[in-house]
Amino acid sequence: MPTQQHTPSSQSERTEPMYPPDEAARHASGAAPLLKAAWREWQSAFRLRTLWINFAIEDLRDRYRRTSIGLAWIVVSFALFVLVKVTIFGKLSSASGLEFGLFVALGFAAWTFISAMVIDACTAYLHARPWMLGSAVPYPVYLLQTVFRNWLTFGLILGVVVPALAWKPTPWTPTMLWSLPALAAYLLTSLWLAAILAPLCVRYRDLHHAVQTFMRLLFFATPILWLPSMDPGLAAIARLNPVSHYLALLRDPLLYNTLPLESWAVVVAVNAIGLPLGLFVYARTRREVVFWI
Amino acid sequence: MQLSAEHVSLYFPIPLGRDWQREQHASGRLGGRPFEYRGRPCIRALDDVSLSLRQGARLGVIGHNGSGKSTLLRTLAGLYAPHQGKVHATAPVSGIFNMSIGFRQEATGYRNIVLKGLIAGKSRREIDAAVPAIAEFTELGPYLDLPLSTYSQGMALRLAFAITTTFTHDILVMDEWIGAGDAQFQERVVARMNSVFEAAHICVLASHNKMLLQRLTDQCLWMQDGRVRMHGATSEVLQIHDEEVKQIKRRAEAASLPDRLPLPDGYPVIRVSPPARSGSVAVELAWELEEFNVGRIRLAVYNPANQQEQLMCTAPARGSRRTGEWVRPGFEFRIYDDRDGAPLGQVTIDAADLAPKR
Repeated sequence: MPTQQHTPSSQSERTEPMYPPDEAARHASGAAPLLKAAWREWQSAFRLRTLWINFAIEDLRDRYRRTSIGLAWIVVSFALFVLVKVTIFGKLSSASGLEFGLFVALGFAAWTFISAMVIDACTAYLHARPWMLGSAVPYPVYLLQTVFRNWLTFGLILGVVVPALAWKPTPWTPTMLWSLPALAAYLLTSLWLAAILAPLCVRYRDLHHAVQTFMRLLFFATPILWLPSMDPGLAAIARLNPVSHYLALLRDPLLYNTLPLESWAVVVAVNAIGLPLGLFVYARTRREVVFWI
Repeated sequence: MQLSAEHVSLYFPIPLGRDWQREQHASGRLGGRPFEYRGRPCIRALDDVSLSLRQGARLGVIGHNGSGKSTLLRTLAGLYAPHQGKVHATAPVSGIFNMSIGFRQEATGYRNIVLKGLIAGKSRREIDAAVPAIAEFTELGPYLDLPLSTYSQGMALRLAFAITTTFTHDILVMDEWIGAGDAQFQERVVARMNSVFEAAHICVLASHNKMLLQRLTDQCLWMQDGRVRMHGATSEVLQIHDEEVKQIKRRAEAASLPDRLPLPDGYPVIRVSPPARSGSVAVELAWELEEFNVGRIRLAVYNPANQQEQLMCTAPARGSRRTGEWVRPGFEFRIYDDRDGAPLGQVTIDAADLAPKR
């Protein structure tokens, strides 16, 4: 539909195509036109932000509907987890109680987000099935909906953890600001990860369960309840586990005022591979997904 | 403005083994023909479908379940990308495909209006402006504040219909569920559709409801096994479709009967008796052929004067018929099996059979 007219939006009276001119997307063959069409779909999905923001909010509302404390459950369950874990695992750690508490809180906050994001990415398309079969909304809307929903939750948890830094044993320095680009790296990763996992989980239904199981195991291989400094074996595991580098990106500047250069190198490398891969998988599966779902 | 499909073919991959494919093919008429596409078993959901609609076109789509109606509509709306051929639309296409699709069951009616409006690409301001009209049309009143899970099917249908026809674009495609709902709502649907049709410049409507198609569309597309069986004026297509459906039904009924048993020699196929009361009735005929596995019969009369046979009626295997005073001695009544036209028996009327005239 190359000449679609946009219905005027409330913010500005633009006349842009509401949905991408998907004539090209539908009939594209060969890598370059497919990628181009995919890219246009992402662009128009970003323009449809009111849609995925509302979808994401509705998802959260659904989850906590008719509960008396609502979204507070996210914070409550997180706080209880951290409390119990610090109480029990603190006995095994050599670090001071306060430092270990913050270590666990920061690590578990990041882990909660990463784990939920990875698992939710698997069902981004599966849950959107009724919409996919009912409207011609560009698919990245469903991916952005999933990503945004997880960031809303993450934001709530960060809203509790960041003030807790008031008790941190080290001084506040500008290095702590390095946690902001860390969040940007998280965001980038969640986007391409959703673009890869969502279509593959539709095609291969085992993948969702495999990912869930894998994430459960990965929790123990990630330095959340233990410090890499406790044992050389554990340090080796932590180094091999990309998730621990993601954690370090956020935790090290906030807690230790250090910049984990090695972790940054790993995360940048992972994104450099993942981003084009995500775009490729998206473009390659875009036209097939609706038949698999 | 234009909506067209050029030689569109669409294949659904079958996520199951090939044994299924073979078995399924042997049974039923539903769905398309299985084949292999790029090494994977597929169903041909659409097979070389072409159509071209200009501004003002109102197209109805008919066909039995699984003939490709919904797939065609979804392809026209851009939800499916065809494997062969092209779909071309010069304006946004909006669609109503399935009433349960696209509602959030836990959200209120009002909230669903907003979400559906956003999907249709409307701004919050436009949506808020449209809410009173939607509320008025649905007659749901306070129910709009309740979650959709509390709605009955009919209520959800009202809401879905009102929302989609409000946020419609220039090209509208609608799937068959539109024929559901109570009679009063049906009238509202037709009225609303006529006004929507004035706004929508091209409309495609799939339905099993012939009355609805006749009232709302001027041309009709008959889908069969993913192919276009016929495309023409609505009344013409519906008539031919009707006839074929009836014929198939009759053939199926005949096929379900066991073979006819031979009639014993001298069996009185037609019994003639004078009528109980004299009057305008000349003679009464009766027959009883069920026990020989006859389904229906044809009754004919032969007039030796002009040597012509005339069909009187078709009737059940057991029955009777009174004839008028036109019967003369020498007339011959004949009975044929309606299934294959085989003669079963005849009787010649003589003067004694006829009731005495006053």
